[in-house]
Amino acid sequence: MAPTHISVKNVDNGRDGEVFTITYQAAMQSGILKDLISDFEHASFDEAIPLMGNISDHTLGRIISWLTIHSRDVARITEQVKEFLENPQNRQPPTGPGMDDDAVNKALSSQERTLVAEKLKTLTPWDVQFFEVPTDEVFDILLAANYLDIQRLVDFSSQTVANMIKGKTTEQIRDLFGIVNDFTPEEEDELRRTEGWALPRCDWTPEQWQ
Amino acid sequence: MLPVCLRSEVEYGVGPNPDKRDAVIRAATYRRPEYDNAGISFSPSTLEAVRSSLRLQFPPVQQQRGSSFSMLESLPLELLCDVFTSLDIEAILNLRQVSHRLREAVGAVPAYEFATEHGLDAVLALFWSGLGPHFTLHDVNNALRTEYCAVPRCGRFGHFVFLPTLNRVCFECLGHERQFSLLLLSKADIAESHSSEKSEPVHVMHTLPGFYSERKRKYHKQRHHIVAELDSVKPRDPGRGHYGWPCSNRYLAAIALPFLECSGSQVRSHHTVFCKGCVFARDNKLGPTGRARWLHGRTKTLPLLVNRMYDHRTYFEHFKWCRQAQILWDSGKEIDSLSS
Repeated sequence: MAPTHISVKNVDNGRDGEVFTITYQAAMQSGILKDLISDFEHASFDEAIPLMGNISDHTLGRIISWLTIHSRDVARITEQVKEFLENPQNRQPPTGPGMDDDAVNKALSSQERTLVAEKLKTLTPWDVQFFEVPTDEVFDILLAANYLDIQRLVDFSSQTVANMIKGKTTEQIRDLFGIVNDFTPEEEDELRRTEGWALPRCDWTPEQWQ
Repeated sequence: MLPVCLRSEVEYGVGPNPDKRDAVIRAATYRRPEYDNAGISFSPSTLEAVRSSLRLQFPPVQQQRGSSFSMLESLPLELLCDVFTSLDIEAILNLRQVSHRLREAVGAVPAYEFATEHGLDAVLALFWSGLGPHFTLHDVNNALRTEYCAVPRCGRFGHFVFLPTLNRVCFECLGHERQFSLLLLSKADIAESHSSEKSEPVHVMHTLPGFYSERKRKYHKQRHHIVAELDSVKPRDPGRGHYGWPCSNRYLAAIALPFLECSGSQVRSHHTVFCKGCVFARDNKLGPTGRARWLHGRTKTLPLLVNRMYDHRTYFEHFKWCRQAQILWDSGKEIDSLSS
């Protein structure tokens, strides 16, 4: 029988860390926790499962809170989308040839799938606040989420990193992430010459660049 | 429907084999450059120059780079790919100039590879028309893999991609449908949207100088700032005739893009094609039985047939009965077997 709560003991670099308690449903979002739970199924769940991911207590705590908040999302969002699509006005008619029932149903289910996928990928205001932390910490969360195999959290943190990159010049990107410019002066010259077309917000036309 | 004199006596099935279907398309159809270049188009030399700069790789620098990597650069490649897939085109092109490692990593993103390999003109058109910050490479890939016009109940092959929304659109709908209306920015009223959730984003693009439209090819020199008409974008002065921009100018916001059918690692591109068999029949004043005068004098459908556009699916419907196209295909096969 599946337990309602799981406790996880963090092991960071061989040292025992904090013990976290998390609901079973929330833990199932992580591929690693899912595997660990099924490995420990026959043992009693009184003892905490050790998690050896070299993740700091702080980061793991944050991830556990994220898992708890988002534990019911899939069911909730699927229901919302179904409700939204019950109104015929919101349905998209199929494109392409064929307008029979089959094509209409196919279009509907594909629309449902894209809407659910889209909503699952959209950061909620809670998530935006969750990621309002120093850059290094965002990367810690991204790496830990990748280790724990939480695809949605990986998506969310990579979106956060992507949002930091957007709309910045090369110089600003280097400053933000502490990247060293390792192009030699000759290479930079070559870049300027050959990639003139890729200058951001350039007002050049195809003919001027030749 | 084909006139009787051009119809074959029996239905000529090609079968589902994709290689054979491709060969038929090569042998019995042709593309018209004025149709392929009706929207935004770039000269082959421009595209080649951009391609070569995209391929430009620098030799790895011999220094202790590992120690100087930042957090972003030291991410595993698959995570970098995750980050880059949600980046817009402009940021991606920008990242290539930040450092060696990032330049390499951008090149390894599957979406980037696919988009620059097959849809480079669309990427360039988006970038140069100022839409770069609004679309991701993923959007371009989606457009490349969509076959039909986005207008419901149209069902035709989408020859173009309408840049302000990246929707597929066919020749007819581009000219007529309301959803592809364009407005000059100076004559548009953009409503401040309060409910940010439902409203579509408004993207301003600037037109690129060049030749447009398939028949009356005209050089457009001036650069205009235009927006697509949406619920939140309305003409400022709707009472005065048309909305500022004639329908024929919609070509300035569209680009012809092949449809890519991907099965496994194989990619087949579909274009708008025309039937060679019908052209052959017209030029030689031929009917299937050789009664040239009969055809020449009577039928008026031939000019229509010659100018009919097909996509691959509709072409095979035509090919089943088009005698001249079948002859072309059969004779081509003979040549192939002779040469081999």
